[in-house]
Amino acid sequence: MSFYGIVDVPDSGPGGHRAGLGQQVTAGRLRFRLFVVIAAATVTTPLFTLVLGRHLGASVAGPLTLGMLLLGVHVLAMLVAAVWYDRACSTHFDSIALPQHSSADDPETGRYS
Amino acid sequence: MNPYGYLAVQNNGFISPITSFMLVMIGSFLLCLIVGIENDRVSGFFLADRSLSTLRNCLALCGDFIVPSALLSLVGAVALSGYDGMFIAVSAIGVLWVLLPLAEPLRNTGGFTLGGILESRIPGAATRIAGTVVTVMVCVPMTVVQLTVAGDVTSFALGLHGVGASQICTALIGLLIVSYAAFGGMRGTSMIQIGKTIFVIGATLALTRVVLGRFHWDLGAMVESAGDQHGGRAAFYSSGLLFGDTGTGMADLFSLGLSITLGGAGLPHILMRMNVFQTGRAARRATRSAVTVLTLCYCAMAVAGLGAAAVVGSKTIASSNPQGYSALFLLSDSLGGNFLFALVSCAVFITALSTLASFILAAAASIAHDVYAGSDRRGRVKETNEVKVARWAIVIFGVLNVFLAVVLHNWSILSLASFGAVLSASAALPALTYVLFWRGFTKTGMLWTLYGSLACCTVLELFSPAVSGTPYSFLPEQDFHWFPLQNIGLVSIPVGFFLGWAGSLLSRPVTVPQPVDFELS
Repeated sequence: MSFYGIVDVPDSGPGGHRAGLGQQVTAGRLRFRLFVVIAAATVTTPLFTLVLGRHLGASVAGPLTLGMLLLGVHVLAMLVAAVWYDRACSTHFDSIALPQHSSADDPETGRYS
Repeated sequence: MNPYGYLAVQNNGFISPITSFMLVMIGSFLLCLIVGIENDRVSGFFLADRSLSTLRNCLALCGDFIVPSALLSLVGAVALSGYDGMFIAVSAIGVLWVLLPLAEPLRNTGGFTLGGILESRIPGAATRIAGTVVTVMVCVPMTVVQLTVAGDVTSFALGLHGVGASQICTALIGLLIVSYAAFGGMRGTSMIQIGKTIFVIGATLALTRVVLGRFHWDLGAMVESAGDQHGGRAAFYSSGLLFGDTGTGMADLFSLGLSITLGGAGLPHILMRMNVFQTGRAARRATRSAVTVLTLCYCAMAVAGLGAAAVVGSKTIASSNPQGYSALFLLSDSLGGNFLFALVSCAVFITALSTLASFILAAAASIAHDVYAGSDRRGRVKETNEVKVARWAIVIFGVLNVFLAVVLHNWSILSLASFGAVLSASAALPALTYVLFWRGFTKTGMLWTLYGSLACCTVLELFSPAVSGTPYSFLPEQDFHWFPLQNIGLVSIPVGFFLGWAGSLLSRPVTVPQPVDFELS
């Protein structure tokens, strides 16, 4: 399975085609990195839960238990990854304006009218 | 009759559950009527003409993820099972994480139903029909369960006892929701979702503030007290209270977490919401913002759950409702104040209204747009006719679900909600992921994923402890289960992905138009 998602490649000659493919590869890389973080967190938290067992209730600092710390790190990873992904996409794609009307601007609703 | 029921009946104050409910009902209905006036076109009825701002859509997206059973069961699960409940809360936040990479490509397909999105890569009536079948199979159990919960909660908040009272509340609420969805369409539903998000977050934060104030803002004291109420801090904050600390119990917990995380991203009303955004990048940005908003909301719910364990006590909560659904009400009751109880009741009530309207609208959209307009009439249909069919589909689908909810009211149907989430994670999500990101995905692979997963989920659910073999099963007096897990996602989700991959590899690849990913405009 390829994570190199698919981009609308504008019909603006070989240069434009290469630029489109470049965007496609970058989009795939960003998505792959996010996928790795999601998969790691999704696997790691249950794994630690399983391994730590009764120790999850052990106090780490004040009211914070080991289990709370584990879940807190998971939530923090989610927040950081979400912000990173959005910023990376903004940097790489949102600033680019190509003179191409995206097919997404034609909602599916118009097909039957 | 609880004291607030007395207040409601005796009319001893303006702020009581019944006056709050009336205000919410009248306000929502007027809102739907006003904003639904221009809903005679397909894009207006299903997509609100894409006229909602990103902020409003973001709030509506948050609202889409806050369902009544989650709102009540999360607080109850944290109150009754400590760490396991918090694990479920974190899994619920994870839904948006899964949705984040999908948001922009989903919006850019231009489809607003599962069948429509899949058809952007794999054209044909079979695609739309398969999408509709899965959509309806996901929506029916979830709608029935949420309706039942809404009826129970309303009767409890109004101080009405007995199954008959709950059934009447379920029927009345259901019919009200059907009229909301039929009149308001996506525009009306979105406005109620926005109001709900603001209301629910406000209510949970207010409750959190009051409960922390009870412990003089000493979180440590509250955590300690919650643990002591359940026989010790070590046990309460360790895993195993929800499903047991055996291997099967742990597998059940992880399975439930996985189903919630992956299932939420493929729910029909979420797919519909994605296409209401003006652009793909707006969808992505709103999803990013929703991660923050929902994290705040779920953390507040977790604190409220711990507060309920500390203030009310796990035994009292469990004796009131074994699933802990009443924890939120018991907490607001214990903390005192008619206002707080009415606020929480109202938050749950508006959550039920908006969520159910979204589910019914999504199912009707799939029936009207994919089956009637897309398959039956092959696209040769006037927009006004399609909207008319959609309104009738809402009425028929809604009334059928209300009937089912009333009939099944005495049955243990909570497992049905998890079935909807699991089916979404096992059938819809693999198909969407492959369609958006894998060039080699074929029609055979798609049909194998959708129908194969549906069959797999049905068989596993039928022979799981959710249907028979335990006192909380759908058929508690029967025992024909052989599958050990109550939550089947751990098996059915990998099967769903495998079927799509295997079906595509075994079928001849066909060159098809590629979908749009990142928007370049």
